[in-house]
Amino acid sequence: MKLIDISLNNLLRKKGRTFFLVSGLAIGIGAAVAMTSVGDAMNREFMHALDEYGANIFILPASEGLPLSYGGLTVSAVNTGGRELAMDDIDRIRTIKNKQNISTIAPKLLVQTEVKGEKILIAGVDFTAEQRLKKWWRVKAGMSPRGNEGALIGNDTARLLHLAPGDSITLDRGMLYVSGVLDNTGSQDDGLIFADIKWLQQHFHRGNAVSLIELSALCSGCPIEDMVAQLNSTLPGARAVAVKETVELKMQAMHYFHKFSIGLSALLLIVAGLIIFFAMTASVKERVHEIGLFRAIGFRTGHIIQVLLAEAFVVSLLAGLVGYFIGIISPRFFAPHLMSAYNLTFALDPILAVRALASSVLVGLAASVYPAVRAGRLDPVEALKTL
Amino acid sequence: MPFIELSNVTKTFLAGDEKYDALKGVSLGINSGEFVAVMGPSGSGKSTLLSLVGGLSKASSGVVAIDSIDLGVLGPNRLSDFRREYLGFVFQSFYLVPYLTALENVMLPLTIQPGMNGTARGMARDALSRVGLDAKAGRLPCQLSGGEQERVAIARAIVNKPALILADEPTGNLDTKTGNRVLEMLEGLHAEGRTIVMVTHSRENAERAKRIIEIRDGEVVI
Repeated sequence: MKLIDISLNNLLRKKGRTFFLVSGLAIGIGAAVAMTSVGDAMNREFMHALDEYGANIFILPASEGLPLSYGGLTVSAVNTGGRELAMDDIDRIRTIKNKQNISTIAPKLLVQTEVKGEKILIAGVDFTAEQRLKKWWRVKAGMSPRGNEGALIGNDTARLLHLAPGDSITLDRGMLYVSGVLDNTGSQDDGLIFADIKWLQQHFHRGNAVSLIELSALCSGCPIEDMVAQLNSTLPGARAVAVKETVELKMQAMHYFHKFSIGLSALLLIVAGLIIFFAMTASVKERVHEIGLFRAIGFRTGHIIQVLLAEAFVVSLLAGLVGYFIGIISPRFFAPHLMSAYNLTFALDPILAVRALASSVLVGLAASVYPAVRAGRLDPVEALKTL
Repeated sequence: MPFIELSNVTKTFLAGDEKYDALKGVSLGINSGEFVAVMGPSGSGKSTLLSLVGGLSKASSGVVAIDSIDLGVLGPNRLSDFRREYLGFVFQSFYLVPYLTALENVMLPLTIQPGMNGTARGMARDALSRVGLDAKAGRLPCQLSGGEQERVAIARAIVNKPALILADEPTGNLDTKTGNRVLEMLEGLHAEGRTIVMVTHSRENAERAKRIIEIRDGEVVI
């Protein structure tokens, strides 16, 4: 018989107490694993949604000309005949190495013209791509354009030009119909008129031209700088630029989510550790005669500590296994009901399993060290009481 | 030189702010192979004497020596080693580990003995046979009578073949007939040459020993 046999026998014969200890720690571990699984799934979903929420790469012509501002970036040579991008460039963009990370490609042709005596910028867009990119767009009056002569008007422009849905806009090259008016976005879009890009190219004789391309990349899977480098390499004569603020915002959001998840998991583990600590302390009190006997028959302090820590190790290992399975199975049940707004997916993660087991053992042993050392140092005469 | 020697031993306890001497300047010797009964009323200091001889506590002053080893200079772990090598304890309350079988309880002292691989179980079975309980080796303590539990405790005390057996009121929780059986076992062990020190408050039990040491108010009177 070895010392571990003493520990195992105690656990096996006191099934109720063992079950209580394993359950207490398993619930803590399970909650931490569930928290981590849900956090990871939410993070993936959140980052995916963030990645699709607005452009994070701008592609501009690498030419010089009159500066024109769009979104804080200088858009060169709008009307001066400098080299512009073309619709064919979109096909080339789709050939880069990280093409699977491209979510949305939204080309734009920017044309300056006069409407009702006011200088106005008209942005020719692919409305499907544009609305996928700009999920914050809300059409407050009217509807999104159906035909290619429909236009969406920015809030400020509609107010300035007194435009409402159904109105017509007479341009020197043709006529557009106001399909809808955008709600205030707080961006440059409020001052624009959005028309179908092909209509604009045709009526302003711009052929295949594109002023800039906004790209939404899923940057969770690759560094944005890699994609920018690939685009610059694929499109000579163009300049791809990462919108750093957007990227940093996304990374910051991911970082906060991660910290929250870790913090809550740590709290749960501390609570589980406290359960183990109090249970082991109570166990030592209950077994004081037994410990006194061990000392009387020649057990050293270290032997007694070994017996108690071995019990803690076995309990913790079991709790880690049980807790891991609770943690990965339970989110699959409660998440669809409690978090139906998110399309969460869960994956088996072997590293999480190892972390759960290691955390459980660490917490169980750490919580048991003090009671075990106290047990080892018990005065045998006091413990036995009869002597 | 006596096998067990106490030289002017005092043991003082603190009770709140007050001190009291459980043993006062006790000097005695017990030779190897003797069967000695330590007798006295409750609170006389006999159990304290046993705890000093067993290395479970240390004298406040004086020297306690077993086989010329001064127990006062040994640290806690060395004292544990000493108890493992030299002593077997038999307690009034048996103190069997409730979640271990009779065989496993007897094997306990051998669990921490180096070089016991493969032989511990056989030695434990032999010890249980000595006390007539080999058929109940797989029983838990709760499945044994009081007398059987005490016999398992005796088997545990002798399994590592100690030179000295210390018995604290071994018949205290037993009926007369069972108590007699236990005393017969102790006599049998004595006949094999072991030194036995038995604490008892019963004159009848004390007279089963070859020598009686009487203690009263912390002092040896006989």
